[in-house]
Amino acid sequence: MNKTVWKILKDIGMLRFFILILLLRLPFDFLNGVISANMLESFIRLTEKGQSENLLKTFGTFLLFTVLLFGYNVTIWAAVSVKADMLLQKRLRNRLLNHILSRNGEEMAAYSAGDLITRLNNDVDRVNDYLTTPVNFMHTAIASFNILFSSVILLILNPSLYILTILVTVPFFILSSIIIIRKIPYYRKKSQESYADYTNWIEPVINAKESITVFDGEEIVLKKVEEASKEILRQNVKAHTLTAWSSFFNIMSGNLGYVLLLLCGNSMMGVGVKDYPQLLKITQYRAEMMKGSFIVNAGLNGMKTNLSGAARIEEILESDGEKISGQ
Amino acid sequence: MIELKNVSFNYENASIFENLSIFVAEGEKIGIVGESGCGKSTLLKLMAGLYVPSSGEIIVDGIRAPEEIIKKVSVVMQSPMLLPLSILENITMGHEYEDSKIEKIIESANLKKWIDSLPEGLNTYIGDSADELSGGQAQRIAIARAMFKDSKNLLLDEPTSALDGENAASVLEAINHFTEGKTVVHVTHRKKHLEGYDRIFLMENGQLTEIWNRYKEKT
Amino acid sequence: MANLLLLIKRNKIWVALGILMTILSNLSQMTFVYLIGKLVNHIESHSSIKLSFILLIALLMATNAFTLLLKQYIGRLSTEKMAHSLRMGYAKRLIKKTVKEKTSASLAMSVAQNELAQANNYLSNTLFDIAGMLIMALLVTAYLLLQNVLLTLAILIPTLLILIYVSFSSRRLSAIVSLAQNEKNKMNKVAYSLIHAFPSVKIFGGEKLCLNAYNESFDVWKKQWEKMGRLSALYNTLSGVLSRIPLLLLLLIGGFMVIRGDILMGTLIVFVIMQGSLSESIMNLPNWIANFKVFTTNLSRIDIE
Repeated sequence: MNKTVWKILKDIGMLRFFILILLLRLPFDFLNGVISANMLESFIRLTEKGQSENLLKTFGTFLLFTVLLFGYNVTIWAAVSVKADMLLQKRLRNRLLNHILSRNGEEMAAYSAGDLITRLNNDVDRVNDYLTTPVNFMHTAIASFNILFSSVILLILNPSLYILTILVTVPFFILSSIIIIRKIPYYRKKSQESYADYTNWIEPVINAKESITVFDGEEIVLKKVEEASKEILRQNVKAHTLTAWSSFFNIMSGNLGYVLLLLCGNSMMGVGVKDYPQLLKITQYRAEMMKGSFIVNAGLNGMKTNLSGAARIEEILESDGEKISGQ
Repeated sequence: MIELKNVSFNYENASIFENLSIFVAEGEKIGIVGESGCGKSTLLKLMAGLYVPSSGEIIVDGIRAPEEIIKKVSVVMQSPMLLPLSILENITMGHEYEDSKIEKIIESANLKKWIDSLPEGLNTYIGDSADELSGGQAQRIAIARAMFKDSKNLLLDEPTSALDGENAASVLEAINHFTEGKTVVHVTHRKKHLEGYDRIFLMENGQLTEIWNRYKEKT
Repeated sequence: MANLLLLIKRNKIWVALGILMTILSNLSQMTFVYLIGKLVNHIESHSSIKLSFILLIALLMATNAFTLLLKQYIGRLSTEKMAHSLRMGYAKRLIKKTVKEKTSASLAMSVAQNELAQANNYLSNTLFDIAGMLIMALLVTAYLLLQNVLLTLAILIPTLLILIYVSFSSRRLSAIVSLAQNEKNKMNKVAYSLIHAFPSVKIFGGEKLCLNAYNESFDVWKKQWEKMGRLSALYNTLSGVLSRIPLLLLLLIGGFMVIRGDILMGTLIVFVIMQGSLSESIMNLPNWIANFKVFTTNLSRIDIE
């Protein structure tokens, strides 16, 4: 977790509570993955052995597991997390407003009213988003946990196939999700700047229309608008090209890993791998690891955008202010 | 030559003019004065072909279609309406030009000294820094643009209204440099800007009344 | 819709190439999955796997990756070209308006900042994904139907039932989200007023009063937000449980069919692999339709040349 957010949570006395809700949420995704992998294994094994009488029983068992797991999600986790979410927001908003109101006029002059309102309204939302919403800290932490535990299970099931999975997944992941997509935000930013150039041209096209008409300036204006529009296209296509290459390496990694697992697993049949259903289970844990890696990668990028809010809140909280009685 | 024959104009169901007629001979200079909001600028835009009359006819150099009239006139408006381009592009609007013509124009528009002081001269971009231009500099660029178009008919819509005395004088001087021999319609609320004009009209209640005629030499 | 057709018409070659590459990419993906099914059958029957078969899989794997790369590149280039046509069409229309056509400057600027920006963003980032998913859903459904009608229905029928449930729950939820958002806006307005009135607050010592006023508005929001959180957890949990049913049914019915010898294990595995992406794309349908409607509404408000 980011140091500033950690400090804010500690300041408002929510750190322990937050760790508790994280611990309560951690097993959910992992157990969901475990149910999926074992469900596939059980069904395929029963099918292989021709035990049709047990198929319905297995269907009922896994449906029950699913209901229990999601039931835990709706009762314990949802109830605790909604309460924690509100408590965090209340304490943070209260502390922030308290600090703002306890300043003197001179200290206040350093900030515009709009700036303070943004901190109180938007930045608190950003800290909350960082901690709880998808593709942020919570999901990144859960996905990291998922990767770790799926790796451990895969290692226990078959160390050789685990190494094979790592060898195929990691280089492609580094290439596609770290090296290739690294420049995408840069091109996105450039594209946004070009869009601003385009709208900067639309304004005179509307407001200076009479001048353009009288002085026959349509051609030069359209040329300039086209330059701006083409620049948006160029920057977006650069970003899309990188996304396409990233997809190329992701699908290569996914398919290659899957096929190699099937082929190598087949050659180990009866030695390191019990049977095809177990091999299928191994592929499921590999899929969980890959899914986790993508979530962690997306989460790390998502968190960056919300961190600016945390820094701005900390700036206000760090400054000393007299406490308002009753708070 | 500019002629309005029984022109009426409505805007958002309100009548601005009813049966307005005026004839401006080739090479004649006329001024139109009146209170703010009396419809002077609207009249000028009708003459420029930028608005279409509800009824009646507008004829400029024998042409009646508004899209064609636009090609026959030059306009300097209250706001210079500069575009996010270089000074040169704002003057030429991307059309072909000869250096000697541009030199002459910036001299006549009282722009030379200022442009020579700029590091990039005529190629200085005035997009984002349009606010850094003084009102006088921006308006003189607009006049240079009108000079570049070099139409026989020049329509001026209070080109100095937003300027202080010194800047206004400089702009008026620039205008006087190139109105010689042109048909000019100058709309203003300051009668003193119309010295030397052939006729002056007062616009009131949607009607034009002649208040000065050089040929008759009476007020 | 007329504007969308116009943009497609102006870029018809790129759009056609994008669609063609999407179809090719999906066909190569389906062929690859078909070969995986064959490979599973070899593993299941403990028969030897020939080198030529492995090479064929490797070839399909490479084709799959390359067609995906081309699909992504050409498909997105085609929607980017459409976005460029939209931007230019709007600017040209504004410039070429004749003197007889009245233009409201404020309306034109508002269209540029809102409808045009949103439609441009949708074209650039979403349209291609939606079109690609739709094409994929159609091709995969046709492919699975050709493989086995009963198993395909075992996926489609529960997925469509879940779809109805998701549409119902998201409609109920959006009404409550909107109520909660209203209360949040009210709380934010209280914060706005308090900070703007800061000098008076200091002069008259009203800090405590301010904090109380803010806390009161927070509590109203909190009540609504907690209600929304509980309901959202309930709906999401139900949809989570329901979304597992197509796979469970597939394994159950498919298991029976393999045991009875109606299909091979490889075919069941093909269905298991395809099921995830098919169900996901069908379940996203209401979202896509809603977003597409917003897009076409925005587009219809943009006057283009």
